[in-house]
Amino acid sequence: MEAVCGASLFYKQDDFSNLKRTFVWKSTPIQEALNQILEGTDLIALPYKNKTWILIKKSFVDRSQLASYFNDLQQSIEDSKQTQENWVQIGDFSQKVLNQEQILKGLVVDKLTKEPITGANIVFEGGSGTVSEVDGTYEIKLKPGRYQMKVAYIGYTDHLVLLDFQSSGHYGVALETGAVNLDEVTITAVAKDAAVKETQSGVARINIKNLDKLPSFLGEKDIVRAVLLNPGVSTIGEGATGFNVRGGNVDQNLIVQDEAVFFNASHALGFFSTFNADLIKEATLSKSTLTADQGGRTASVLEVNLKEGNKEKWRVKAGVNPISATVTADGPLGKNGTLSSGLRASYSDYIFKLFSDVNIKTSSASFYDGTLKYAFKKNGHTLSTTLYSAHDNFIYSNKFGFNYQTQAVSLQWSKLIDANKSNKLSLVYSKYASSQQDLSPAFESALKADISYFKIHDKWSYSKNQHKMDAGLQSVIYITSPGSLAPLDGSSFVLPNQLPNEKGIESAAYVSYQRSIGEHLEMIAGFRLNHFMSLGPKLVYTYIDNKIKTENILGTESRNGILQHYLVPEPRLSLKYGIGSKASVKLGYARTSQYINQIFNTDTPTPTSQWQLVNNYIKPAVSDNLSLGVFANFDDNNFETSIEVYKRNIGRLYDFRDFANLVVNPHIETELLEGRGRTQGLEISIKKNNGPINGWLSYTYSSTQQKVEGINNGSWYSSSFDKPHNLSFIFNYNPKQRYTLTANFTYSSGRPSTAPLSNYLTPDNVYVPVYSNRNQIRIPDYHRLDLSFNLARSHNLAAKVITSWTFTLYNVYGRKNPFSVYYTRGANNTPQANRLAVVGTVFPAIRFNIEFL
Amino acid sequence: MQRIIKRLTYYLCALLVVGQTACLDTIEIDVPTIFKNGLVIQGGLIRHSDKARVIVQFRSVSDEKSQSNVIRVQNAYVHNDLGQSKELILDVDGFYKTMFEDSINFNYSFGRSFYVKVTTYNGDQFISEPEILSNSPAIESLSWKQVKKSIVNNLNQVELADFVEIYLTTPKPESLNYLKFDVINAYKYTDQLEGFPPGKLCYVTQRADTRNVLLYDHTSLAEPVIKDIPVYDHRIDYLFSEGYYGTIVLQSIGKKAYDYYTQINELNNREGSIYDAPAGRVISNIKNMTHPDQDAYGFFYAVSQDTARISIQPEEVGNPSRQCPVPPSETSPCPVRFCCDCLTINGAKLEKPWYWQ
Repeated sequence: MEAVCGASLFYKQDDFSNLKRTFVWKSTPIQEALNQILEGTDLIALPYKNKTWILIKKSFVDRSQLASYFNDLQQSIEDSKQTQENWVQIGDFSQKVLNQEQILKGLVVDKLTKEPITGANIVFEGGSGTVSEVDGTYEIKLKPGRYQMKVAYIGYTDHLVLLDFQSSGHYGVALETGAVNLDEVTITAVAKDAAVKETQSGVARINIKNLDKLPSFLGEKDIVRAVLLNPGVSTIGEGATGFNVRGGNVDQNLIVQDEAVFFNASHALGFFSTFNADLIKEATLSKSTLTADQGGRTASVLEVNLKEGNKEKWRVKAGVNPISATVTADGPLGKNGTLSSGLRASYSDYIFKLFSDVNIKTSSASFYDGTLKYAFKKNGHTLSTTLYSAHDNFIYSNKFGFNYQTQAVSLQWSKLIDANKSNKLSLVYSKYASSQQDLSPAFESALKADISYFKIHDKWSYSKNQHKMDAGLQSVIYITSPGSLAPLDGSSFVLPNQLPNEKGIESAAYVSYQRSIGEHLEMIAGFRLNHFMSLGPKLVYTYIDNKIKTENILGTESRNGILQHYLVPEPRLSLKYGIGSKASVKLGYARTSQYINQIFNTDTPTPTSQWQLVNNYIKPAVSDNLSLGVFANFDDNNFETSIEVYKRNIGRLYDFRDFANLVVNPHIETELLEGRGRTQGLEISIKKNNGPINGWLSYTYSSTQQKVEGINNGSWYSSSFDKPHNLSFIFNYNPKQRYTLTANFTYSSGRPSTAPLSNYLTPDNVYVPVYSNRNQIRIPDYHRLDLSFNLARSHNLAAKVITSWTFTLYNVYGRKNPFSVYYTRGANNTPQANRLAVVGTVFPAIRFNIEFL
Repeated sequence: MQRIIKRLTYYLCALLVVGQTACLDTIEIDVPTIFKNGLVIQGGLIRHSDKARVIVQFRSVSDEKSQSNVIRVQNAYVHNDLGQSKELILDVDGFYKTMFEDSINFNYSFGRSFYVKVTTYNGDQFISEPEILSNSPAIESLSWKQVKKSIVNNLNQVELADFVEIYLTTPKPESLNYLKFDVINAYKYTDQLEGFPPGKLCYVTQRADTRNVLLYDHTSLAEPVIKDIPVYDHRIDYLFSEGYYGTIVLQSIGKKAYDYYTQINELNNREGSIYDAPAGRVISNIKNMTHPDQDAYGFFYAVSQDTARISIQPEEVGNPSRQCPVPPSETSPCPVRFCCDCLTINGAKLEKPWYWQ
């Protein structure tokens, strides 16, 4: 038709791979001819001016968020006149092999400064795409054919081009600065087929844009709640600090923001996370099968990266909800710099006054956090620094109180060495300090603990043709103050007691190599060598026959220098076998190790739960993690599905003796019991991305068990966060771009618990309950429905002030989900189970955002 | 902005209506029937001055979840580390007992260790781990003060109320022992309704309902004297309306006994907070020798003790009410039972305790 009629047709070869039809036309309009060809298929011929049609799937046309894309494209085509010269040919026709993927590479730079742009979105019609690397380079596999390519980055005008892709080749892009709608660009931050195309398995990329739409607790949008919607991720309930990934404890997750480690990522004792959602650019959770550059924890890594400021102009955004207010501002600073900042503070005390419970009524809680990110780019170098500070204060009914704070500074210097090589150097300092006050008369005291973290990380990347290599060195110095107890005034009976500081150095060298093997297979093979040194001076306890029990303590020895060191080799492997362009099978294996643990024997860590380094007696936890998954997208990436099975063998873990004494204990090893763990599960995820009705269903079936000598006669038992069934369902109704109604349903099995089976009376008339084996029963299941209505910003792009609203109902049917169950003496002295429901009623909330452009 | 404020107000009203969040209520939990019956041995050797007595009780626990039953055993003996032993005899109150007036046939000196050996009617033999008897420090003084403490009233409001708080001073024990207190309340009470002539005068003696075993870890104290530690408090009420004696029994116990009682307290103080430590099995120093794989419960201890008393007169605490209201008419039934018959109070007798002045 192109040759005879002079028509221009845009289409994807894949869409026509099975379509063979023969027609004879005479004086038939082109549109009608196309309609005949496409009759009975899910394709449509979309007419453009000047004998131009785009043949695409009907569902693609329905996707409202892409309307602007086509408008832009149409405008571009109009402006440049539709001639053969508009097609940019890549590669050599003589090397063209149909249906065999070739590589398109290129560099994305700022048109004016020629600096490489990191994180630019390169999207091809149909959903394929990638993101430019730290050095501005990009690489993507495509089959030969004609494509519409869009390159977008925050603060720049979209670059639209028609590519005639013949064979492997280069296409460089120079973006012009210009105001664009920030959020519209964010939609395509991740390629729509990333789950299928990415080689690493167990990666969950959090959709930042959708945070606004998700129902939230008291209106506070929270990235950790979005993390919890992923299969394999669970929590033990509202008010719990952190989250559990694939059977891991909460301290087995490494949580970083711009490379700075957060040791406690929660505000208000776990109700909210410390991340300011308005500043987040991207967040990625890597579950258990980590890449070689990720380490230090056995279960997962949550990496949060913050946005850089706008290069053109200053913008201010503010949001309020019933418990906190947020203000963010970003803009240019100097010729090559940008600044992004945010401040969030709570004013939640009035909520406590509304409660009928006296203890809560006389409680108070407050938090704030502040973030500042400065980025400077010049001549292929990017220097950025992020400062972060968070503070929490909580007092419960003048009985006890907590306050805790995090300070973090990170400095990152990225440089492009040449077209293939880049380097990134990171320096990080973070400190977490906590204090718990006992305000009981005569026992007024403060228990304090802190941990300081210094990290240097140098990462080199090399990429050429189909090979990609990363290598790096990193070293972390930990200094912990495990605990100090001090009386708050002279009348207190509490004696001061302070444990000496502990020090350790964790170092790692790693290398990772990625390449394609043949047409379908892709691999990332990596190796990480971890080394940990426990450093003196330290008073080390010695035990009779090395049996670590309080009653076996022989005495102490003062030791200096290196007290103990551990070397753990960690192989990593990810294999992906592509089945067509829309499905893949992935296999992942990673050994991970951990040199710091949080010591707590409560359901959830307290803010003052001490961080304990491995030492002579406490050895590193080592976990072997394996996963196998099938990923398939359908209907032009409208539906994303995945099924993954995983297994983790944890070679060493610790559980606590009954009635363990963990407070300012100089020989904490006597309270721990060493064992091993095993966890396995099946994760299913189904997403529908587009259309007025879209959503997400994720389900996990898992089993998490431990075997510890000294507990339950050395038999396997369920860990405290073993929840076999875990289901999340998100339903979005999006009739117009501005309105979204979201329903979120969550279900999970009840947690294991320990229950009294009988009791007896002492001569002092005190009842002694006799408890079951540890975690032998389960508390009732958890389920909750939340609703939210999001009224997004208006379509008026010329507006200087834009507003949006979110209305939320949390726990719609007011279920009293038990956080924990404890037992009191009931009628006839039988044990009476009591349920503690932290959020036992429906919580309405409203959030209002205003943005000044 | 006006609109925002208006909507926030609506929100607050909505919260006010439903403003009951952290909630605690009773539920049914399926607990599997997995418990095996076991024997509880409770008691100890108690030395006071130069005399000593051994008092032990045996109970069976089962998965009936009801109070354990007192049981009889085939025989029970107390042993010391010199190889001496003496049989314990069942008394009418269900306790197995024996008394020692001197150390001639059974040495109960400080520093010696003691254990019990028990044979049940089905032939199972139980034995306790040896417990060393340590000297208890003498109580140097008792004192009391009237203090104000926060309470939650019937309207669920916090208010300040007057309490009597008793303090104890004692030298720090020489050995690495821990202290345990027993508090026994004794008070006078006349059965008399307001406006009516007085009836009987009762003397009520009750172990203080302290919920917890009162313990003190003296190892955390730097001073040589444990001075004015609060051992008991009670809200000023009818207990102090006619005269009160507080008896404090100070016992010196070993580390394992201290851990045993601490664990019991820990279990009984669980509040269901998200920061509660998990429950567990209380330790025991009893072993089933016949079936070592089966659990045995309880604790046999060896303690020495000292006793002191303190008296508080009604006028010293503002002559508190006897809390016996005026009946509507002479023929009305007694509004509060013990106001009409003080002998219905648990532990009430007409005889004056020997120490009552």
